[in-house]
Amino acid sequence: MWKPFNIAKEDVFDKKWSILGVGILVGLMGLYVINMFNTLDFSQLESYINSLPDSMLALLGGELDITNPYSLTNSYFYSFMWLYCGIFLVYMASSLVPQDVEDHTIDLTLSKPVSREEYLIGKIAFIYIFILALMAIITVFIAAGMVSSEIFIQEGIYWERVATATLMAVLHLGTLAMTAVFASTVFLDAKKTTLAAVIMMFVMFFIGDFSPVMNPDIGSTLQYFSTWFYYDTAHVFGAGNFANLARDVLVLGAINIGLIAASLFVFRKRDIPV
Amino acid sequence: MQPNQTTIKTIALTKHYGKHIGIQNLNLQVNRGEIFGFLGPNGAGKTTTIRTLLDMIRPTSGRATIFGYDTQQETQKIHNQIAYLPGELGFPKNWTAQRTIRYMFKLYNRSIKWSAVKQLASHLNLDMDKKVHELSKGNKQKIGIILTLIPDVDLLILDEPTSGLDPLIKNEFYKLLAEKQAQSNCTVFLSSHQLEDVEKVAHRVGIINKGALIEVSTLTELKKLAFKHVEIQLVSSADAKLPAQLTKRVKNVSVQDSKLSFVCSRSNLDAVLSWLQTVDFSDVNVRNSTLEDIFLEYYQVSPYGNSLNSNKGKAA
Repeated sequence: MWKPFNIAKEDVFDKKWSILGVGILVGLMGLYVINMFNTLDFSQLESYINSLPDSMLALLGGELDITNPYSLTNSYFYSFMWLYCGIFLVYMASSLVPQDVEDHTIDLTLSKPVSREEYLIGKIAFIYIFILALMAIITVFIAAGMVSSEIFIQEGIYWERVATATLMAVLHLGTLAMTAVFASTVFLDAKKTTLAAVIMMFVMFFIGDFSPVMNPDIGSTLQYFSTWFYYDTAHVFGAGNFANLARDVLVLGAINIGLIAASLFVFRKRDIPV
Repeated sequence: MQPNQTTIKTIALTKHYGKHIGIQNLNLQVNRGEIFGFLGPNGAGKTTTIRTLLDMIRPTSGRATIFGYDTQQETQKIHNQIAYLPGELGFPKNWTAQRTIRYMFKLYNRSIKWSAVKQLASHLNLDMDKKVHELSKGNKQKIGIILTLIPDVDLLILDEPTSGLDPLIKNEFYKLLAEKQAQSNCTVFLSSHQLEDVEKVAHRVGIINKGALIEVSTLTELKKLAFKHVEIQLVSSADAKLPAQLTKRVKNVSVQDSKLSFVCSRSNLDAVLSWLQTVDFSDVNVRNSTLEDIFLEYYQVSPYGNSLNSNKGKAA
């Protein structure tokens, strides 16, 4: 059996309850958000939104339409995926390698015919399996919520929006977790890694979501450097607009690959501390 | 494996941690099929040497080969032929002993006989269904012993293998190690700060201190280098005084009534015996230094007050 798969398999087995627990919890949250809209009068909401001054609208997400169940689900759910799942993932990814270093299990593993690359690929594979499984569980809840919601049925059930939002979430959560993995190969210390990865996550969040509002001149350029800019579920899920999908997927995918390559490069060079 | 009589070879192997020296210019050769004891106090550089050999840490300069393969370039070829027991043994806490062993063995490019694992676990009285966090330090060490002794490999690297083991299991371990080595003719690189451990099985020993290899020799040779402890029971206390020419050549002279004791090198024994012919004595006892004495001497904390190395030429 391929060794990275062996390493990933054991981690999946260890974290199976976390996958299920977080997946069900966040999925239920999504279900609650969808059901919340069943009582909303969208025509009234649209008039209210239109009455708001432009500056207020900008703060709420600019020109984005939040007057249909898809866009509202995005605003309350998909756009906060980094908060619901991301922080947990960053915390978990930060400790995967450092934990092995701190409890010395890495010494035994790397003394076997397992290269450092195989070891790290095993850990990275586990993280993606975790994210995929998590998003699969969450998506089941979202799908169940949509097909049981009259408002969604009236609006129409668009599975392609669900699929692309899930893909975007996987890629976005992947960038957060891979940032943590990269930091962990630099520090090989769980606390320092978590701190660095969380700071990076919030910096990206502010650059991507707030900088264009706070300073449109600088922010409109600066936002391109944030992964948040490319995690655009507002267009794909909220509005069914896939114009930038290929670009966003490519950029987020490239960031994931870049972080994986950087992690492998750094980890290969590092001394494993006692 | 390449045909090579040298299993481990280090050439000017050096590792610095910033300003701190881990090992310095280490030139070491361990031959195929021998049990090599690697002795040194804590912090001497034993673990640094081992971790450099295993490519866990990268040398500042110098290089090392195992089975003729470069330790940095051909790591996997080497690792498929070795079993390593680290000094700081760590396992996933929530795994059972059985799961841990199965997982570790799956990482080899070879099949492991599970029946042999069960047999050894039973021999060591290890409950393999218990979770690691429920096991005592000694029982965790037993998992390490299984991981080391079961695979059919050409080199065992053992870093303080019996730490935390009770004396019975410790003896059992050395017995099993000697058996394994005799059966498979594998090479064993055994690091320890306790001479008594290494003494039981080692063919040759290397002594390391402050990152430098001070001595490599067989245990017999090492003993030859040692001082002689001489005790003479003289008939008259008036004779309990060494002549001037001998006083310069012995150490730690003490006189209690008519009993004279001192320490001298092997080469000075003739002079002592010649002097004995001139005095009346009732008993003479000449004892070799224990290996512990020698070991301590190399660490320069000898009770004799000088280094054995300075007398090595004369003694040999």
